[in-house]
Amino acid sequence: MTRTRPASPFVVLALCLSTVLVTACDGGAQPKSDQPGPPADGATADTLPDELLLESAPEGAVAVATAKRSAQPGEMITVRGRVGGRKDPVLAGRASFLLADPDQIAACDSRDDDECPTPWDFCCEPKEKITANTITVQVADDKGRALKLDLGALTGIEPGSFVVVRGKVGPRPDPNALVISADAIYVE
Amino acid sequence: MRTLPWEYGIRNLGRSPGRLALGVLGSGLVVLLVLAALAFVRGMGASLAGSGGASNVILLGAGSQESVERSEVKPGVAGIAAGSIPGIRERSGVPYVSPEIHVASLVRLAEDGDRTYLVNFRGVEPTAFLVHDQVRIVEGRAPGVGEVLVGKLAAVRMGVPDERLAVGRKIVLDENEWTVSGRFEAPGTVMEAEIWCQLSDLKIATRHENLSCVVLTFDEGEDLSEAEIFTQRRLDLELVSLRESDYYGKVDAFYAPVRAMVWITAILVAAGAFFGGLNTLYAAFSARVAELGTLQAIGFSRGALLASLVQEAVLTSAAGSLLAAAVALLALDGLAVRISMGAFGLRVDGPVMAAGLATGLVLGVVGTIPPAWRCLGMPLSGALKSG
Repeated sequence: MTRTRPASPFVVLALCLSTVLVTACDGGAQPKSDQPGPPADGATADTLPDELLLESAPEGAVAVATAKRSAQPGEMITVRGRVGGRKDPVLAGRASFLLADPDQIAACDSRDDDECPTPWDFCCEPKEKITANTITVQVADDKGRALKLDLGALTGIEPGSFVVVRGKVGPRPDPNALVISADAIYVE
Repeated sequence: MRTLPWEYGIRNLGRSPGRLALGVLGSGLVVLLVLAALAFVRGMGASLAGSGGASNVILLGAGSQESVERSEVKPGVAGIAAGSIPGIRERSGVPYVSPEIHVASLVRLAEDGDRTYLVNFRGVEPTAFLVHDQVRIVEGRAPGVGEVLVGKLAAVRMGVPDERLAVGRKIVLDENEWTVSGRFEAPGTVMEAEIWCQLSDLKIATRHENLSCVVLTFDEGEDLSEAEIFTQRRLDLELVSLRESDYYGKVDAFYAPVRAMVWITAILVAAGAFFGGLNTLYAAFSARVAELGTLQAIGFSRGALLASLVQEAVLTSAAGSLLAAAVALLALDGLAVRISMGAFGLRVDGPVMAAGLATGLVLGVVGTIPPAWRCLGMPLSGALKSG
């Protein structure tokens, strides 16, 4: 007579552990974070206009504060300022950055004892003063949308850079809103 | 190497049922502690990760990226954003733009006297249900004037029985009674612990002139950086934009010390139990020194004996782990936990179970080696004489 061997306890234990794992894996609703990731942002990158970067500064540049006071929608203007006004003033992946007036708002690195790692955000100044002395510069397509490219990598514009920008003033829905669509940029 | 039969270890376990039961219970408790800590960490992380919609962007007041309650956004921003930002999803001409006020406020229950409870309120318009598609009304209806919609975990957040916030019950905010018009669920999100009401009502009750935020939903495939472009173009509005998931990611980072404390506590208690178990095993193995010496004398190597001892310990700890896993699945999974920001459910899922069970198995192996090493290290003559 053939004697059957009982199942190894190890096998039984392994089966129990597997059952528990499968049960646990099956339970609960899928949280949002487990669902497919966010939609891809945008389509392929645009190219930088060939004539955008200048070898020398254009003439007749005014300060940011002056432009903000007097610039009219549609006029051509040349402005000099310092890239800053926020911790990340150059938008990643888009041709848009903020330009601040360094004569009106003091950067943290103007003080000897200040070791702020992001002096271009002018964080020592009141928020309203920063807003009043900062403008927006974009390199736009013919529909007015900021180009999809890494402006910093292509032009050397980085937070804290001094630049001179020439371009057209966009609509001004508010005195504190000034957007220049740049056709020429000089990085000092 | 000639090993001891598998059945030898099994029979040894049965020699002392009381000791076996204690071993199973002890290892089960340690594994249950680990499972509870993991479930807490996973649940908290999941509720924050799940709260941010994949296509949602939140517009906050500049400088308030860390806390929506402190953010101030001008009332007209929702309309300006809807008209200016390309790519916002629409349904039947209604843009997915939700202006909101977030406030943590003290409330009373109408029949509860002066006792107050801290609650997270969210003042919304109907578009909030488009933007926050995780939210589903499961009882009653959306709130009208003077009414509130209560999240499924709001009672846990307040520390009151669920029926105190049933449809038709009243809560008191700013000395005015608000009627519960309905209940909603939003599984795996912090919203489930909130109380929602009409935006205009909350503005008046809390004397807020401004909004806390505006939440937008973009169409699939659209560029979410258009929201950031908008905040740069309209510096006058003093806004910043964040993906909603990134905002809750920052909140999640804020609670990292809480999670660290949970881990440290669990590790300390488990370590205490582990060393207690080591002590017990030392005693148990010491009582078997003569037996182990006899087995060596008849030709089994120390390695084979060690393997048999590890087999016994692993079987014991595995049984304890299975018990702990069953308790965790039945009693802990989904259990609501109250924290300062709201409430969330513990989450006992696959990775938690795997880690818990692995802990049990490792305990069995690691916990056996020191006492076994000591007992097997005795000279053979001494071991045989000790019996």
